[in-house]
Amino acid sequence: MSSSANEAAARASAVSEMGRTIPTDAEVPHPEGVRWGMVVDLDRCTGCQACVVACQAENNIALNEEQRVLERRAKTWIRIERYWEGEFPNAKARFIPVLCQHCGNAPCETVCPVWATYHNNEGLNVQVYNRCIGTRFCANGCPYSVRYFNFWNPEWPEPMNNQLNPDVTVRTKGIIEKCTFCVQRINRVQVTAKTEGREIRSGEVQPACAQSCPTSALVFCDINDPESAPAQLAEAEAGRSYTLLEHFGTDPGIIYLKKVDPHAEIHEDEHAHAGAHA
Amino acid sequence: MQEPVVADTKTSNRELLDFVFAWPAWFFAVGGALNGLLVAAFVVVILMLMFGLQFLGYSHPVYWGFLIVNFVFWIGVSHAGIMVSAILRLTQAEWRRPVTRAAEVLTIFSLLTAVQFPLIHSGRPWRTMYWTFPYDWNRGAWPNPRSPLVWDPSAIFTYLTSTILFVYVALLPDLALARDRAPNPVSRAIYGVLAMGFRGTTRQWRIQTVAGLLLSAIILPIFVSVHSIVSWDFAVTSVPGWHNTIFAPYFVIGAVHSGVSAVVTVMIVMRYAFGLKRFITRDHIDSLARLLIVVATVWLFFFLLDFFFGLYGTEPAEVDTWQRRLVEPPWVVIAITFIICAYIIPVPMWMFRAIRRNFFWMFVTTILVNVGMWLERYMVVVPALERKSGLTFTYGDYAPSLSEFILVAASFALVILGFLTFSKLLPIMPAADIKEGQILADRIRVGRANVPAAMRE
Amino acid sequence: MSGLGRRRFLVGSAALAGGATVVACAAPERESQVQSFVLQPELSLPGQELWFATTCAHSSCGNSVVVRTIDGRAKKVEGNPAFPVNQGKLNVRSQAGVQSLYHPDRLTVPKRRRGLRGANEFEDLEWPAGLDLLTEKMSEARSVVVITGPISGTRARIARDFATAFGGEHLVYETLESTVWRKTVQDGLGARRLPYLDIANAHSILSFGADFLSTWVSPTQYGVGYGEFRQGHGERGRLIQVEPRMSLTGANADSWVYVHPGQEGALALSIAQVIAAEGLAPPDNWFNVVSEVGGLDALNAYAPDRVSQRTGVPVERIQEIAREFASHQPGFAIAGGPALASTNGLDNGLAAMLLNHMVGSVGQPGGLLPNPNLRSTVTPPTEPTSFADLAGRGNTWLEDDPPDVAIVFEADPVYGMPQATRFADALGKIPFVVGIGTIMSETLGHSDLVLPSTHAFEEWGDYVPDPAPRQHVVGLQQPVVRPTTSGRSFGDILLTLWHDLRPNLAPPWETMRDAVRANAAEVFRGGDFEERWVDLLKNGGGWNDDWAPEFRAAPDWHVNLLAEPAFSDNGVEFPLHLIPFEGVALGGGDETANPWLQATPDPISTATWTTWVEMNPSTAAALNVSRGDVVRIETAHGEFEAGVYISPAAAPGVLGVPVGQGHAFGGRWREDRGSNVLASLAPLTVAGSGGLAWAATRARVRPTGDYRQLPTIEVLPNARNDVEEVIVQVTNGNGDHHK
Ligand code: SF4
Ligand code: SF4
Ligand code: SF4
Ligand code: SF4
Ligand code: SF4
Repeated sequence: MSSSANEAAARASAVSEMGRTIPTDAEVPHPEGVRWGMVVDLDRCTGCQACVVACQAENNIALNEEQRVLERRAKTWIRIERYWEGEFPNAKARFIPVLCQHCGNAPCETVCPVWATYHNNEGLNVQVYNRCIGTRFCANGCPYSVRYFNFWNPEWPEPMNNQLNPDVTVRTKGIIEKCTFCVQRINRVQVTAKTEGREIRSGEVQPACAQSCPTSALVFCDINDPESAPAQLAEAEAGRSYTLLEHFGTDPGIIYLKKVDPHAEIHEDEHAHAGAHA
Repeated sequence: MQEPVVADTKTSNRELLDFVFAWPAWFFAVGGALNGLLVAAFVVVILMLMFGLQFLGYSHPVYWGFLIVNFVFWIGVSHAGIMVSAILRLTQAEWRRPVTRAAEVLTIFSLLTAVQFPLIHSGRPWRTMYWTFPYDWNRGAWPNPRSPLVWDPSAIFTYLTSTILFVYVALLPDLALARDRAPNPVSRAIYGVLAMGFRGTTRQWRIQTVAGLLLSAIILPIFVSVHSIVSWDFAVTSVPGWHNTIFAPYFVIGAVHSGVSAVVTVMIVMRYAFGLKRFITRDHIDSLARLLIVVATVWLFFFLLDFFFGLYGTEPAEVDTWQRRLVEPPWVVIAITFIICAYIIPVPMWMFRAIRRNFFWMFVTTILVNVGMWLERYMVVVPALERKSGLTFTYGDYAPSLSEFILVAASFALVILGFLTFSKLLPIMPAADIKEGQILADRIRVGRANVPAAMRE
Repeated sequence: MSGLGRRRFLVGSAALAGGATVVACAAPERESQVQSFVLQPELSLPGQELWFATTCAHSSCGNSVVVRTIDGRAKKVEGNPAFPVNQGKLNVRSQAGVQSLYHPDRLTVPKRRRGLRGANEFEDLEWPAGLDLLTEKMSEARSVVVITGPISGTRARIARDFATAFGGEHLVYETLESTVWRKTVQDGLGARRLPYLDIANAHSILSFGADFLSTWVSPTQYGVGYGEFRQGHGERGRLIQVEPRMSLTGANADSWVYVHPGQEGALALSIAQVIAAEGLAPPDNWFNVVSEVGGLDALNAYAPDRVSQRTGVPVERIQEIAREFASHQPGFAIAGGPALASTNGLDNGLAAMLLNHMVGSVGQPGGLLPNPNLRSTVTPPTEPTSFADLAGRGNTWLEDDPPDVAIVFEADPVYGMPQATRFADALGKIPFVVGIGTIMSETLGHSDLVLPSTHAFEEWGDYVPDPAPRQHVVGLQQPVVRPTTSGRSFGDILLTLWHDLRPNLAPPWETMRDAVRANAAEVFRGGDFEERWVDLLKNGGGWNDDWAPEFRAAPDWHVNLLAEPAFSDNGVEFPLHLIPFEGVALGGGDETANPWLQATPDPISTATWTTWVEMNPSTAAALNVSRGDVVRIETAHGEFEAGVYISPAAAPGVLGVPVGQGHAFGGRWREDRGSNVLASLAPLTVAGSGGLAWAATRARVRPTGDYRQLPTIEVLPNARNDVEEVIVQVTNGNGDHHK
């Protein structure tokens, strides 16, 4: 109430400080070029849903009213899937965050007739809303079912529209949307780095979900950068790493680290019908 | 073999053109009812354009349903017409003459109907219309040649163009005939322009015949390509249950099955509705039914191949899809229904000559085939999407909404209405062709020899 | 036709093809690339963003956030990376703060009641008229009661002193209050502040019902620690969760152990007995404490074979837990949730504390670490009023001794107090009730005057996180946007009244901003304060590291070894245990108006927007109900409806029901959905602490015959990991998987 414009400016944190939520490594350019990816440590993820709402907030995702959930038309670019194992008293819940895997070999891309979804040279599976004609072919092609169709125009009753992020398009009816790896954040960091005449620092880009995740189960990174902390993590945890639905050959950009359960019987292979009860 | 149609030229002209110039009362009743359906569908489409596709039964992850099923169905139906016509023309089968036009017209209208469906099913049809054409030269934004949805329009529009040409060439003499017999100057003028000055000179006849034969030869590979490409809409994806190499021939033969059946149905209707009893005979449906026995059996063989390939692969997701289709409750009912309708009932019946030559039973069995084939397409398209991968968390089902039923019903209305309208404007029997057949059948005595009245070119 | 011969056609085609090839090869590469409009940094013109650090008002843990604003509008809430409590991380509720700010059903102007109380008939007022009315009532009042939620810092101080100045008291209402845990800590550790849980460095955690990853006490802080606990640099920690209903924390445990409701303490003592009997921890650690609770003989009464029946945990399992816990030290035991919400909850908590003493984790890294006591002159700790005290006040008011005016802020006791306490009636006895808040609630709906307050992002304030991260921390709250309504901050309203009516007793500051500034000046003394102040605001508060207190030695405590839990009814008429729980998004129900939070799937059932009841398949089979069937759950004190969710993790005979729905007030997304389980609870208290024993109610279930599809994100009933393809791959972690 009693804050003058000057004071407000003085009170604001410097923009540049915001990126540094994770200690950064040296600025390492690497020969293969950038491939944005993520390491998801299932042993850290608790299923707390913070990432889900962070993504809704960052990316102007329409409200998922009850009717939308009932119709199975709710949109969650990242969703926490919960799988049961066993029965009481040995029942176990397993959580896994599922978002677009930004496949290197993406089945959604080949089928799009208009290049509305394509692979960019930084490893992103990009969705160009303006070109999308809404065939939903890509959604059928995606084995992870992470593409969501807009069956109607989204609405934010006044004054809720004030919260919309100006960096992110509001999607109209008739098109597909999905996780973009928060491309707007990548862009901002790239612009900042360019203005400051430097390389992007490892860990400088933080998508909303990873930023929020209390347990740091989600770590965003350039998986081509062998120096990045997550790449090293994936390397060190090679015994735990796997990619989702590997046999589809989609070459996902997301590396999952297996959950550790000291009491689990281990599924010998992916298709084993083992009831893993303690 | 079959007896050629025998009537004098005058009678043929009158009977064949009768419907073009007459206005029976039922025409208005049927036309009105069909138009009613179209209006309902129009309202649905307008609502979809204005408020998005929320009125359809689609949801995550089943994003394709009735509209795509219907698209595949009509593309399938469109196949028979041209195939029957072209093959018979190439093989110079005499009995083809009354059959070809109806078959070709059915092709055109089912194709025109089919292409509506991917269009209205897409989220932004207005963009779909121009973005599937390579127009955007300035920005280097081209369609994606890797997508079957780009192959589709190319194949379908090629097919549509050649079909229209094909029909048009065959139609020229009849247009001339209509021009000569049109009751008023306006229609005479229109038919005159359309007839492109066809006067029946020897040279004109020769060109017309050769063009017809050439187009027949060209159109056959196109027709095979079209449904193959439609099948690749599914087969090139990695969706278990869709990802099958057998799909192209399986789809083509299925298309022939449903298409030839549709031709039989239509011919029987025409026989009674347009009073063409003299031209459409038991011989015709008998021949087509024999063809159908072969086609249906090959189709069943491919269906079983699809199934066996699924099992041999022992890919769990694929096996699971089959298990769902053939064992689990809502699906097994559809599976049994379509196999019974498309094979188990009709084929054994067609073994009996009495049934093959019975208009009523042929009408019933061919309708059954298409009911079965529609369901078969549904079985191909939908269950695979309901459970795409091991992510069982997002498995979902599909329940078509009223809007989808209206649109599907309207597609039938559209085809029938198109057919009726065509028959109102032009003879639905190729009058010239039929007459040619008669002339060829006429024999004259030259001395002691009994020789054909005309020699084939 | 004749113009285009075959030869010319062929030549033409060849020329075209050749030309096209040349053109295609000569064109620069980027011409043949499809350019997207998504990535064009050189053309993008990012809006000017400003980041303001402030305190999140949507979780009692006091997370500090930075709010991204563009053109004066708040866009996104993010964790404040500098703040030692949440360290840049946030939970669901903090993320959703911005949506409460711009909620379309926010209160925008003052309202005066027109119809009966609770009838939701109000007329709009201008602020001066509303304040006049309030001033008039206050000037006539002999006593005033101020009821708030768990507020903190300067705001709490003003509320307390204001109430005192007007001859009344400040009651702090917390929906499922932390009284019992606080009392456990006081008795068991001798600490006035909640301890810091050194989760990151623990090798094992034995939690009796404390859902610390979801809603318990300070979940974001604990979540940050949990990540390190699992996959930090040390040994991978093991989590053992003991509880009657699988919570989110239970779902993440390495061992999830079902225990009969209220028997957590017995189990803890049994574990203690095994530790003692098997010599799993050095006796030096625990001999004294165990003596204080009666010595080894007393513990022996809890030998596994003696309590196995009572707790429902097999003998070997008890031994396994004891061995696993004792052999993976450092580690600690905590109690919360239903364990503390039984009538013997304090004993259950203290039994868990005993384990901490036995394994020597009190005051040790990887165990429970002491937090600094507050400098109480500045920021008094706001400890919630216990349920017993609040219910007692209600009874007094009912018996015709009500205060003249009640001021209620961000507290909804009319919703949260069990119907059996008749708290709404008690509030009704107060002649004039003023409700202050951002959005309608049951309590505001029962008020005579409703004043819109500013949202947390529009006002000044400060917050003292409890528990602190072993540091003395004050989080500051500053307006990040201009107020979007005519609302005024709670503190400002009280200060205005105070200066108007009791100027001689009033504090020196006229506004909250001045008050916060003055308090900050007092806490953070030294140097140029102007510069300091700006720094504090930029950082979101202040904290210092050089504070290393210790737990007070020789706590004076005991465990009532024989206490059996009491339940609301016998198990015949009401055979089932009703275990309410707070979901990760809706918590106690105060944020239910927020559509993001409503739509956030419950992690266990994945349900949204409604009230469901978790049932074991066998319980459901006995009732002949399945997923989505609507059942009526009856207790001796009320009844409500819920949709059945059949959960393989639910225990037979236990009904898990989420708290938070069933509101009649609060806008389009909150009203008339789901049911309020709290209303039907029995008004039982926890012996020795006065907390509500909210897990001590028994219930029965009647199918209604209705079916309503459950709005779950999971589509197939119970997606499983052990069919078809295994999605969540698991390793048993044998061998050293660390580098
Ligand atoms: S996860 Fe799906 S949407 Fe994302 S790139 Fe892979 S196939 Fe495409
Ligand atoms: S829905 Fe959009 S992105 Fe997906 S295939 Fe169709 S046009 Fe491409
Ligand atoms: S990377 Fe960004 S868009 Fe993708 S899930 Fe995370 S927050 Fe959402
Ligand atoms: S925020 Fe992190 S821990 Fe929580 S559900 Fe998402 S990934 Fe898992
Ligand atoms: S003003 Fe510029 S940026 Fe905005 S729409 Fe027009 S051309 Fe695009």
